Amino acid sequence: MTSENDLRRILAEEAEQAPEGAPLAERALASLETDVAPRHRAHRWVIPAATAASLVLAASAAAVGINTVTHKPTAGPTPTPSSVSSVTAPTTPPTHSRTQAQSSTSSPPPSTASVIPEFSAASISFDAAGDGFAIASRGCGALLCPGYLLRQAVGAQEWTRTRSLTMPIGVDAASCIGRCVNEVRFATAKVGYVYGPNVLFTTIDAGRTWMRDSGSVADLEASASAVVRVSTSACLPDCTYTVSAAKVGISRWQDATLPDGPLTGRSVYLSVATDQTFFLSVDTADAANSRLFQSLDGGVTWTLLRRGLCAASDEGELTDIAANAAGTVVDYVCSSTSSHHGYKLTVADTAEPVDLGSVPAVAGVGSRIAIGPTGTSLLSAGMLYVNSSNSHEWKTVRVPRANGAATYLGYPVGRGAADQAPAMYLGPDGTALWTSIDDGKTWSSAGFG
Amino acid sequence: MYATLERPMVPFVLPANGNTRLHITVVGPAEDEERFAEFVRNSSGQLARTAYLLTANRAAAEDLVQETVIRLYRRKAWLLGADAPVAYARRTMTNLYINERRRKASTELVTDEVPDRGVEPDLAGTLADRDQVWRLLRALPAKQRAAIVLRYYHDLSDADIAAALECREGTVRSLISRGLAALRVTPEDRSTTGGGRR
Repeated sequence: MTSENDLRRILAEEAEQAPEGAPLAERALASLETDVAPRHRAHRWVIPAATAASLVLAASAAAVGINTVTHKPTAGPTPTPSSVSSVTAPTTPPTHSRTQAQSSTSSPPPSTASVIPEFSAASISFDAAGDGFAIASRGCGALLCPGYLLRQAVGAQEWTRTRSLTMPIGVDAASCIGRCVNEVRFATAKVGYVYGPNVLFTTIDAGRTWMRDSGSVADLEASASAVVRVSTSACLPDCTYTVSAAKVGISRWQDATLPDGPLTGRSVYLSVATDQTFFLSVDTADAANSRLFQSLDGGVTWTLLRRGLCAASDEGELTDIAANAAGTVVDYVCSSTSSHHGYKLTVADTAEPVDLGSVPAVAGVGSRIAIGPTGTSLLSAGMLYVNSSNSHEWKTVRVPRANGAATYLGYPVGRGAADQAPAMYLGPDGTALWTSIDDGKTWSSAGFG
Repeated sequence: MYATLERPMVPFVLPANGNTRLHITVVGPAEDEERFAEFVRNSSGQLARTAYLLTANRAAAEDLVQETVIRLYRRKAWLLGADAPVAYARRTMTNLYINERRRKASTELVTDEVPDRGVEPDLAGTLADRDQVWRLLRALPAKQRAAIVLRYYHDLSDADIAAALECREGTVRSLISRGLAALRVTPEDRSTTGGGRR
């Protein structure tokens, strides 16, 4: 560089690489609705009661003689002269029930001890060795909350906080805007991913630092050595998805080519089985076009396993898939939208899929499916349905603290011998991870304290 | 014994109209919202460019603009009443950038691409090349970089930069001088003088 004018020129040229202003303005303004409004509603001045009473009297006196008052109300409490000085009850901290390690039988469900949970997990993940990771918030009632990374080593009773996250946590994908994250996946003890609909962050040092990757994330799964990511840029109304794969901890994403045309549909579901085996399904409005793919090389190349998932008239839409730990079996769930709401499950490990029959469903409540050592399980609305016979026979187990949409159901590898991996689920309130090693007969919980 | 009182929504103006009866005009929050949104839309391009020059990263620039807008929103009455709201916004952004970079230095590294391995950039050669200048600029300490951007992109005076950075004019001159020196320094110089990223 020879002159200050050169520097001016370089800066002006580089500034042209800046993000476009107009969409950025809309995004920033949209974020105000969730980032700022809840905090403002919660903001209170705390003053002694005697002072508050004085202010009431003072405001009443000042109101005498006022001629005209105009005010344009907002969504919050209307600040009329009288409401400005109104005294409300003190805000009391939220009370919860802490879940302590305990066991119970499946019927009736265990009573929950009354202690306060420290954290509420939005998403949990287990790495290949069985160590657990969770992203959680703490006593936050807003849509976007300060986030924390929690960890539970194999053998440990409780989850412990390891890091504060610099990105907010959203209660669900719909409310997760900007750099908000609502899902976590850890591949190893060091390498993990947190992501939301618009962002993906990678850590290679167990959450100490996070590196942001560009692009959106519709779904992501990681094994110990490979990570597969599905992105979408537009849904009008069907989304067009792109699939890419990378080695764990390295963000050099390689676009994958899938057979059978472009990947478009209403939603996608990824499932990881072994180090290199992944499954991907896409749900489409026309069920005849829904498809199930398999990759045996870490997500780089894919083969079409089956087309027309949930295509029967009473099957409804595809809502979840799960693979077993060996990668030899993949099940998928069709959620019926007919009057007799039900989940119909199918095993697709053979050329001729096996019909597993149906289990009841509750309208509007999501489900989770997983394949354990003894068979297929589905968790929905406080009930765990277990199928160990590859037939229409389902055992029903009522489980504690699972009323509502299940957040996680799985049989983490590394938490037990291959044929004895425990069942684990995270209920809708996110306050504890429940574990059963006896097909749901008894459950113990570990709180996120 | 404590009670809570909701924060009153201000500002309001009490004009001296010579009448013993007060005439109160409340600036409606909804009107503020509209004016604030208009300000954001009108200045977003400028803010985005400043943010990009500060962060050298599109994603981080978007975040910085968003954080700035959130911060400004909380003081929108002040912003909308300011003589130079864009300058006020730029000042807010600059301080956010400096504080965030200081805070995140040990927690988050925002990057467009995760490095495969810790590969050092090639700094060999002279500084005549734009990419090299840009790379060296990225390596400057946050406050030096902000001072350089405010001077050579926005053409602000020492006084205006001092106001934006909340420091003295002498400090501004020092920051710019050291920043320029760093941009002129060769890698060999850096290694012998122990300079570089702080």
